[in-house]
Amino acid sequence: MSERSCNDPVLENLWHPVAAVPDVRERGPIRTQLLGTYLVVSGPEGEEIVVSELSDVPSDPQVTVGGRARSLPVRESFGFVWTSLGSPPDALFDIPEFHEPDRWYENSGSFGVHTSAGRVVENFLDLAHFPFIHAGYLGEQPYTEVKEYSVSIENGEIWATGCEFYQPIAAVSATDGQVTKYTYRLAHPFCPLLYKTSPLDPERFDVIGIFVQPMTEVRACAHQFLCLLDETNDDATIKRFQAIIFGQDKPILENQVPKRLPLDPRAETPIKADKTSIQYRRWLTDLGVSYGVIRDGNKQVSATKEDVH
Amino acid sequence: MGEVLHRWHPVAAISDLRDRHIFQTELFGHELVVWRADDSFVNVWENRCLHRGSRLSGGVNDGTELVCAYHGWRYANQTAGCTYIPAHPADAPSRTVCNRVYPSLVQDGFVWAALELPGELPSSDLRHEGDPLVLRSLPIDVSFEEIQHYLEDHEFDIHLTPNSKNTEAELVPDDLGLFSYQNSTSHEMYSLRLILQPFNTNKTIVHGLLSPAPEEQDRLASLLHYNTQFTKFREKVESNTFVNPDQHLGDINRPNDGWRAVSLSNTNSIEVEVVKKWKTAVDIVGFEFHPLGVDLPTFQPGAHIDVHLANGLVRQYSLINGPGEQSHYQIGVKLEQNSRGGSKFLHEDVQQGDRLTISGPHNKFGLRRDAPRTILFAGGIGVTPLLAMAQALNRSELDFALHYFAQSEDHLAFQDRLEQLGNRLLTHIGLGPEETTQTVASILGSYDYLSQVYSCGPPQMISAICDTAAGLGWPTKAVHYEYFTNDNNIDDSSAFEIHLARSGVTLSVNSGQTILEVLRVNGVLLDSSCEQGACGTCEVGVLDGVPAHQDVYLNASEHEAGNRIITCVSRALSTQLVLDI
Amino acid sequence: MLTLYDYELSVNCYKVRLLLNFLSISHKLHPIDFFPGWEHKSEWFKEINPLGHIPVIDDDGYILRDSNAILIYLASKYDDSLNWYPTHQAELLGEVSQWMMFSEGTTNTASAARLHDSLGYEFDIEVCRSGAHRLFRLLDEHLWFREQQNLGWLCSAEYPTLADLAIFPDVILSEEGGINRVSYPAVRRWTDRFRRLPNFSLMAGVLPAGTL
Repeated sequence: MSERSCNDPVLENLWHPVAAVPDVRERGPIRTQLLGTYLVVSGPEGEEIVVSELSDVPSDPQVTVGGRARSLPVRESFGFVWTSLGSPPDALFDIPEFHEPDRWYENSGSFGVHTSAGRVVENFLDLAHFPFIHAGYLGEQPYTEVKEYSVSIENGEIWATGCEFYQPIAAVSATDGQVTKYTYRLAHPFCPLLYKTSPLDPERFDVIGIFVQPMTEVRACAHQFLCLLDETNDDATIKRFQAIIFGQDKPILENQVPKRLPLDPRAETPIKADKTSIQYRRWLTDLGVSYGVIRDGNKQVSATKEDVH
Repeated sequence: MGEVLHRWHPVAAISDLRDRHIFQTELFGHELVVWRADDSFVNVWENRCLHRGSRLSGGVNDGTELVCAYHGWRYANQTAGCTYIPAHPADAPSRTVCNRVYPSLVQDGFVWAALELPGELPSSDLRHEGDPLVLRSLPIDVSFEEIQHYLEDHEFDIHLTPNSKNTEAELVPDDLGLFSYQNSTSHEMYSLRLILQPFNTNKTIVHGLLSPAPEEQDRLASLLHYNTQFTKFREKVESNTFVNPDQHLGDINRPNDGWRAVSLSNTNSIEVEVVKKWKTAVDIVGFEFHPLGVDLPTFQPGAHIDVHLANGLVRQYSLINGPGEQSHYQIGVKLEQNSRGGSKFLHEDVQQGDRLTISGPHNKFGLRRDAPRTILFAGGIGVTPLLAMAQALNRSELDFALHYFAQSEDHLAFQDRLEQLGNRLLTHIGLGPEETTQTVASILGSYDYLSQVYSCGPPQMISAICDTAAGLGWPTKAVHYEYFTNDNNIDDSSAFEIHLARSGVTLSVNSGQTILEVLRVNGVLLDSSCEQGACGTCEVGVLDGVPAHQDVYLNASEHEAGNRIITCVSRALSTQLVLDI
Repeated sequence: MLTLYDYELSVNCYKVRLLLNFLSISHKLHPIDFFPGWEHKSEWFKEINPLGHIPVIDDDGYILRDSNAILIYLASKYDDSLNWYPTHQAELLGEVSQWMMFSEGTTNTASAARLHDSLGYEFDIEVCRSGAHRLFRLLDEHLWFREQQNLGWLCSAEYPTLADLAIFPDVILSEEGGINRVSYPAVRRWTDRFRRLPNFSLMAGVLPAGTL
């Protein structure tokens, strides 16, 4: 299978997630792809985790020891293995809540999806689909309004604050439903985070996120991340919830055309509710990202068969 | 290749569209949906919601509109114009929010479509009487050029009935994409026509017609026979052809052709013919308008049009159309006692067959669909916008009731439409002002957080409803109303001036006008797209003055810097803005 | 009370959940951390099912594994209409069994492709996908001819049976494995009909069809 090579120095020089640490430790070497390049991530218990680029790709999927080329930079952050195809910065973005002693964090699954990383990120940032795609979970018809919220750029990160969505309570009694408040943060082009008031402490936030691995221009792996206050909670419940939410998004994500994210704002039709994604596409344009996106809309897109999945 | 884009190609059999199915296919790599509305109109659209590119084939056909699965955007039958955006229930979608429609028509049991404006529909000299039998269409994973090549040599076993023999069916050379086999030697004249649909570079759909159609008892056997024939052909062709997986697909899935930057003309007038005029109540006449040579624009419930009368007057009337009713507009006109020539003219002088000019729909009274329950209060002719709303609500899962207040039974208009509402319609006949207020109070009850009110009628009735609702604890945001007067609604946003630096012209932007509109009316044709302040297309530089930003495209620091403005929504804080155009 | 050892994203568990809801059988779900926890391969679960697969039901002590077996048990015990599994009509029952065997094929192709693409299982993806397309072609032809006879389901009856139920989930989630259904219009219409059935239940990855 021939892949377009990456040629995107912006993305090549960033850290990207490629596996969950427990998966590498417990299930042996994992073969995966990053920006079109085949990699192996290995690290039995007690050893350092190593990420190597595969120079030739064995056709038998069981073979994970191919002709290994160079070793790539590795770091473990937030329970995941991160690597880079170039020269990444010294630091990855931080999540202060992650270091608080009374938190637990969870690797709640890494799911492949047939679309570009940018599309996955935008979907995570979107509220308007809650009553349609996540009916009964995050929203319910006919409560579809997305009220105005604020988006700002701070220290090179996008923050969306004051986001609210109405979730009606099941009770028959006539009082207002519950309005859930969200704050979104993008500290990395493919790592959106969501802050939701913790049910245990209204002054603090639960952090939910996805770290999206751009496997190819039209394929991604979404690593689910949770960092919550409640360590006695039935963690299976929350993990399952996240998996269900992502599963519900899949048929939408896999049926968006084109798969690569169009950056020209006139390519699609944003509305006021899409404020965060408008800024996100502008941010990707300004950063100079070219892999997995469509920059110049006036040029014809030469699609590949993958686009027609 | 270019010529082929102008041809008609079959894209679906009519029988494929049953049961509100959304049929999915491609033509030269362009993804299409084909769907039939309950009024039998067949739509061929691009399979892509223009909001965020979701395939419409994953959505729902509710018989009048296509609803996108992602955010619930609704698109009207025929025009593909968006009628509702659930994230913003109070805002009627801009006219530019319209999916791409392909030329299409229905013939011989197929839906035909073309990518560009086509010429004649291919016809064959071999047509017989009666409808042909539409065979099962078969997709073959080979390009259509290859298939044509194979068809030139392939021998089909052709016969009309299970008992007739295949005797020397001739391949009759025909148009590109048509292969016809005629049996002319036996005394049974019949033909098999194969029509190729170029799906994309690696796939073709073979459609077939058998003419004349066999008798009913032989129909299934014929279908099975030709299905077997086509399947054998497919096996042969697929096993012999190497498919190059890296072959590019040309113009496939371009994000948007021409970016939908629409230059609207500064006139908004549509010529129509009065196809029907009828008395629908004691003092109300109904009119049905059909457009001449164009399509009527998409409307939403609550919209009204301007009607230009031959006596020079312009009057506004609400559309009573139900969802998906796109081929005509219907309005109701009450003969006003103090008519200054508007309603009088329409009642007495305008006749069936006359032509008029109307505007496209304006919507300042849009229906929000995010309340579980809607109470509609109609007073007299005020029923017209509410009737449109009631018909839309009647097709939804939402609870509603239409309370129609009228002087007498004979004053109730549009009975045929009222009947469709069943027990959601309640009439209140001959009530005086106090009784009306009491009735309204008992219908409203105290505010339950689930309901909203829309009312339209005489001013005293509307005031009474608003006061009563307020007294019962209803917040003003839940009570919507429209006055029926002949004055335009006054927009209380500010008026200001714009000075165009390059041409030296100064223009006024009045209340209710946007900078974009004023520029266009004065010949400065700026491109726009969403007209909601989101896409940035209509941006212009600001050289002086203080903009009042209403958009979401520029970020906070750009707003502060004040040297750019999104002209479709933003206004001015200062009395004048100097613009860099 | 019947317990189902379940994982929300499992196609075979969905088959059982569909029938439990169609027949309104009260039940409780015992969630298994299939992914990424691999709980189905744990010691405690292997005591319930030594094969380490889900779904498994425990109906007041009666334990059964394998989705097709569970469907047959539930239909035979709880479906008074005898429509889903018509034990009293030999020919129709034969057809139902035939298509339930066919569902092994769709599971091992389409749903295997889905496990490969979504959860990183190591299968030969090209073999899975081409296998699924071969089976979907057969399904499309069969369903198209049913439509010509004004029937809408796989077997020769005017109502759906376990044949339809066992195959539907593999079909409706096929896109997750890179198998699109644009070439199978009769199959697409059959999925509309299935989703419109009373008491139909969604799962993550299935979009609702409109009502008629």
